[in-house]
Amino acid sequence: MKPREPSAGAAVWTIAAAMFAGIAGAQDAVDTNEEAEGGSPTDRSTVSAGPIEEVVVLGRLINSTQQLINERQDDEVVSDVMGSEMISRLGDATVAVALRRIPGLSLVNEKFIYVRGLGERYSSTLLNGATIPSPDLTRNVIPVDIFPTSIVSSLRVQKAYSADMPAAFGGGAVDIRTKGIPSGFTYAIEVGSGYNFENDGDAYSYPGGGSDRWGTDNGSRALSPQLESEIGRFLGNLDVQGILDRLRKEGNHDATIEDARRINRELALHLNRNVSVAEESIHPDLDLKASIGNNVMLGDDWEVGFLFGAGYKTTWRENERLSRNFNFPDERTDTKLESTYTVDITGTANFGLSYLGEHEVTTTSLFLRNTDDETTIRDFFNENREISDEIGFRNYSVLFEERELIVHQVKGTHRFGDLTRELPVVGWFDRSWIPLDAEVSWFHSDTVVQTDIPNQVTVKAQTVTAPTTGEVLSSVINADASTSDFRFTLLDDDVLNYGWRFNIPVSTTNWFLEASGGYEHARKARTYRQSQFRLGAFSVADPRILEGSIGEVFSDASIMDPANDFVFDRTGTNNQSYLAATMTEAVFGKVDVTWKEVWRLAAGARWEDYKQVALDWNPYGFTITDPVVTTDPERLEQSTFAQDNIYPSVSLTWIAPFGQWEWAERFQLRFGWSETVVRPDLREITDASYIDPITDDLVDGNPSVIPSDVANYDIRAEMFFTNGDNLTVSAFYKDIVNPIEFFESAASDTTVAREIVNATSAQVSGVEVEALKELSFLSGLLGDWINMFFVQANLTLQDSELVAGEKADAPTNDVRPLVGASEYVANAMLGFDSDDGRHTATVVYNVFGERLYVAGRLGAPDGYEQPYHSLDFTYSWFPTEAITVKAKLRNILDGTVEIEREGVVVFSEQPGSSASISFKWAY
Amino acid sequence: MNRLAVAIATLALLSACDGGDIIIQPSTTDASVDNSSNTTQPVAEENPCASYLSTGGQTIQGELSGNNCIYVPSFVDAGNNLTVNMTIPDLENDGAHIFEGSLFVGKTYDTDEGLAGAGITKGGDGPVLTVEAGATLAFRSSGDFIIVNRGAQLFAVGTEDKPITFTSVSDVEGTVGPEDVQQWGGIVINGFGVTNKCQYTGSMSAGNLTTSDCHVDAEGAAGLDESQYGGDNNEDSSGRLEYVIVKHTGAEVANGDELNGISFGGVGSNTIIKNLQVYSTYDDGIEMFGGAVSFENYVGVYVRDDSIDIDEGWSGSITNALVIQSETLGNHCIEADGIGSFSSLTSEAVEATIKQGINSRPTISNLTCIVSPSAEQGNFDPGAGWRLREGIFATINDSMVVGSFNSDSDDSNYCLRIDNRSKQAAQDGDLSLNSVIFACADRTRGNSLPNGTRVEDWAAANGAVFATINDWADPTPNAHTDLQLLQDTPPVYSIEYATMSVDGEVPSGSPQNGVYIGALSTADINWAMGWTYGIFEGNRGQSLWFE
Repeated sequence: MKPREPSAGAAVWTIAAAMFAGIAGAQDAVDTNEEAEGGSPTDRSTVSAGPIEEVVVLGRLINSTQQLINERQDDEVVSDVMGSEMISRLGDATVAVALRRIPGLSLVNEKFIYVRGLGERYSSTLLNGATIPSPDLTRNVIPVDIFPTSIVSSLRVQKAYSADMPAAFGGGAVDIRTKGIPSGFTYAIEVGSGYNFENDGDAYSYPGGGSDRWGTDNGSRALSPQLESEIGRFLGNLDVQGILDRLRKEGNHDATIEDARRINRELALHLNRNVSVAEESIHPDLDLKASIGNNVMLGDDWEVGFLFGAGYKTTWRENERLSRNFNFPDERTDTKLESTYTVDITGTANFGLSYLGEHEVTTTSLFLRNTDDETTIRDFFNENREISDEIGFRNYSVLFEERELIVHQVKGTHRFGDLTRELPVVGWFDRSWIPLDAEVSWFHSDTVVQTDIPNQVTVKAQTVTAPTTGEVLSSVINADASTSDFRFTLLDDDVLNYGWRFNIPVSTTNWFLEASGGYEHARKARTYRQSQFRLGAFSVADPRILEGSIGEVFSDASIMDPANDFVFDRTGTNNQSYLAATMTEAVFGKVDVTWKEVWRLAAGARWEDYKQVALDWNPYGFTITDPVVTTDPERLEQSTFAQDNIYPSVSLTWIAPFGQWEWAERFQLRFGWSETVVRPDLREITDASYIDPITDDLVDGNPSVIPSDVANYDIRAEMFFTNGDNLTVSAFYKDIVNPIEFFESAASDTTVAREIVNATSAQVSGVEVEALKELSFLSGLLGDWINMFFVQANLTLQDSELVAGEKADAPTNDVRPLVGASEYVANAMLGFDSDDGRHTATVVYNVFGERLYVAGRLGAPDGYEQPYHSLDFTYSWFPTEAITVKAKLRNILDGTVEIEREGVVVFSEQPGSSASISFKWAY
Repeated sequence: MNRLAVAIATLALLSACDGGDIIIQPSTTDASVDNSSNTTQPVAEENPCASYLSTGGQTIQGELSGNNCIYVPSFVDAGNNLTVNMTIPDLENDGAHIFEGSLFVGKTYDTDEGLAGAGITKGGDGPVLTVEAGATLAFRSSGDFIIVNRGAQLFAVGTEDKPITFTSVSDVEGTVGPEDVQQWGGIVINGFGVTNKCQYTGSMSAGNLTTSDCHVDAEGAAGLDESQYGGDNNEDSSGRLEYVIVKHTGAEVANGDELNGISFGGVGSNTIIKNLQVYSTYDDGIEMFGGAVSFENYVGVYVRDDSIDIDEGWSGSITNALVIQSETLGNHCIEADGIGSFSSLTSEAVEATIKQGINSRPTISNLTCIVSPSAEQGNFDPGAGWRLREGIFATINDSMVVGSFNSDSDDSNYCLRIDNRSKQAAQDGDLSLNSVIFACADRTRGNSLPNGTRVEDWAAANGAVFATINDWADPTPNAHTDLQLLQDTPPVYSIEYATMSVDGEVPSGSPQNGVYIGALSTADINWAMGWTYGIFEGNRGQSLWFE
């Protein structure tokens, strides 16, 4: 026999990977000119000395954010920036949670950031300005919960498009900027622990692997190589008849059906069936972090620096989700009890080299691992078994999902400033043509994401339940061919992004002009492989064994006992796996003109050439009619998509001449206009339907779907006051033509099908208000103690409307809000900084208005997620210069997440309050 | 022997660094290996296997192996659908046609444009698969099944002597037990009939019901296995099935979706179905998703789920039907739903559907259900009679449910259950039971009608007779005189109505038609005799549990 499945699959991947050949050992890029390691000890040392008055107290907050405010002010387009100091005050552990504090942003499904009410499809995520791959199994979107805030220097959300960024821009672009090189020697060690009050001390668990504590599987869950090779031997046909057929083809003419049955069952023994669900006592969270960095001058001209960081965190969470049927909320319930053990590991290594202060090369390497080990027991009732029937269904499932991101970026900036121009080597050439302070910068970013879900097991069982409560009294594991499902999923997503740009500044007395331009290349290769098997017994000799644990029912002895009629096979459709690639080439040019520091006009355009391919991949295809990938030219053609276009942007700013406005130190007014695009996601252009690996929905792609064109309009007024107060008011309007949306489509029986179509139009308009106010003006009224407080708040009011149009399949409401768009989102923060600088405390509140969760079809009402109020408290104590003690209370209001359909609560979940404490020793 | 041709296609996604292109270069590598010794066919022997002309003008034909014909995936399979007419002959010596892949007739389209482009609009305009009387088609594995797509037709017209059998290879090889299921997929027939999963304008009564872009994804279908049904042509014809037996079905084709014996998706009334049996199916026996196809002479034996399942607005009829559950497995004899996705609809949407007349409105006559009052066993719900719900307007005449052959296990073994919107239908007279007898220890299940009348009282006052059963009672004359409904060997023949005994008396009323209720009578033609499998001595794998 010749290479079969495994090698076939491997060959495909190898060649796909060859797309990236020659790009080894990558690097990356960081802004070293950003603030150093986000901590505050240096600030504090200046503060703790001497008497304190308001300026100093506020000064601290402002100092740490002044750079960011400056950046925002000086930005040519509308953007918001949040620094690590603020994130630390807020106490948010992941980028996802921190981002919802920014005006106009909301967090959906705890993972995805919606900017200005537009869904995950419309927001892009960059890492240090570069495009990165996604661990999402079917889409391009980046679930931002994968990034811990400990690696973040600042988060920048650009809400108006500028030509130097990718044209795939809808609501906004989030740039996660990681910590760079420190300004001097620094180190920090931090130890923390915490607990969620929803945990009851015991969690569901199952026998895992020896390296689970490191968030990785030790191989015990891996798809057995012997099984893979046997699949090849039997040409993918693992059913009894297929095996028998193959045995005879191999020359064994005496092979009997019994031989084939035995082999079929032996194949099942290659699965790890040791997944009996049991209760295990759990431990509190553990959070360890360490970092070290330095920055030294080598001679007068050279400066080198580095920063290494590492983190390790484990948490246990118990979670209960209750779904209820809209029409039969009391009779048909679905309760999921889920225990999750999470391991997060981070590692960073940054190096920087600077010459003359005008040339700089920095590298960033980042390793992130986020592993969730979930054990779930789901008890449910449906149209066939209601609670009053006193029988129900139960599913046991275990899921070990390891997501890993490895980033290498290198970035360089070369400014032809005075010092460079004086260099002897430059002197050899005619330098008169090089404008002073002309700058060339470049970056190269090579990023890999892998999502590995080995041995995801679901086992079906039946229950006998109590009359009115539905409480499970007893359960037995099913006896049929599809009792259990064993799934192995592996996603690899590689993104290579590089580019360069130049900036040429020219100034006269009244004019300042900066011309810039550049080139960018981004390409992505993805392989998604899903192997799925089923194992069950048509019948068992002694039905009592079905009352046992999963490990007992599926023990070697039980499976091999001929009296138990076990059967094993591959399952699932042959197109769950896929290959995809995208490539973008872009060239842009911009001019940024300022007149008398009063008017500023930035205008640019970007040309993008975009190509995309997504191919269904059958790793178990062994015949010409069932190939690994199709060779039919028509189908191949249908799997591709290409478009090139020019995307313009214009931004105009009026800056109030200094001193003209008594009450504000600075006032500016901006206008922005741009045209951008939102393209179909990877699998959306393919005709074939597939089953969503997360939701089990049937998803229909649509080869005729076209990109959405987005027109963006912004106005923003910004006021900055001498005492640090500020006020920003923004208004925006977005008009989307042919918005790409998922709609429910008709499917038989209880199947839920969704299809991608271009709706007619969508519009979003809104107002964002953001303000910071120190409270010293109240001191006359309330006393001096109030000087230690400040408030910061933002409010977004918006209105969205989607017109579904003819292509949508009978939506209940043809005109409705956009999914995930709230009419209001508010954040409020009360900050405290003690006079002696040894205590800071922050109370922060977040709320979002009702938002559409799922749109109904054919008269089924739309489901709305109800407003959720969250209140968090963070307190830091600095007993000495080197030590920080931090205590956090999260989600103090302990609210319930609820989704309603016409007043009926169809889903509820209690995220729970949690408390944590940490000690940090830093220099 | 090219059967072992193994192809490994390789995909190349190559990118020239400067060219900036994604290049797709799939290539096919033939890695075929055949280690089997030469079982070369005798030359010049005529090949009786089915064949068709490919688009390239090449004759594609199955291969004779012993008495059987083998059809490799390159003959037909998912993604390699049959797009031209083909006839499958009856083979000599009881030879079977063994398919190593799925058999999909016609292509499926999920847009109106796609259908129009293929010239398929109303049905009957696609390829035709003809199966000759006496032929046996066998499928090998769990993922293999039959789809007759919209436009395509299946003509499988057997005779009493030569029925047509769709079954598993394990059945052909004789290694399957009588009650074994999930040996292969099953059959899916799709048509352009009306399904209330789609949106319509107009109404059934006004005769102006129209829809567009009605493409309902059929059960258990994704990727190459996907298919769609639905439309506004309830007069569509998907062909003709006579003397057809479907056995040992129900393998899972996709995520958790097991196939029925036959699923009829929007199959129209010009489809002729006469003398159809399903035998040992994992999921339902027959399930109608909308459409208006009618059945004459239906037999369901050892169906583990519902023997007759109605959904999404089916408006056909069943005339003469015999349902025999296994002693230990089997759920409802009839599970009948009026409106698809009922549980997520508002009452306004439900009433609008009813007003359009596109909720299920079937007529069932002369049905005998022999159900086992077994407890839920393994994955299956308890044996029971009729469950009518979700706004179904059903008329059931001259029928009976006999659940008394065995001890009653719990109160889920009801004869009759009426739920939610169908209770209103009962009260309004939109749901009617005429000349029906129920013999179950648990007579009914469910609460009262909206006006407070108990379901049992409503049924008894409107044409139903309930026998009083304590635990169990043999309903044959052999046992006692209190309950006499069925007779003879096997006891599947109805006693003439006027001589039946319920609680020691002749039941009130009289049949709507003829002199007996139920499927068969010794005094009438035994339409089930001669061709069905598993009931009558001489042509069955085991005797009936209640004989």
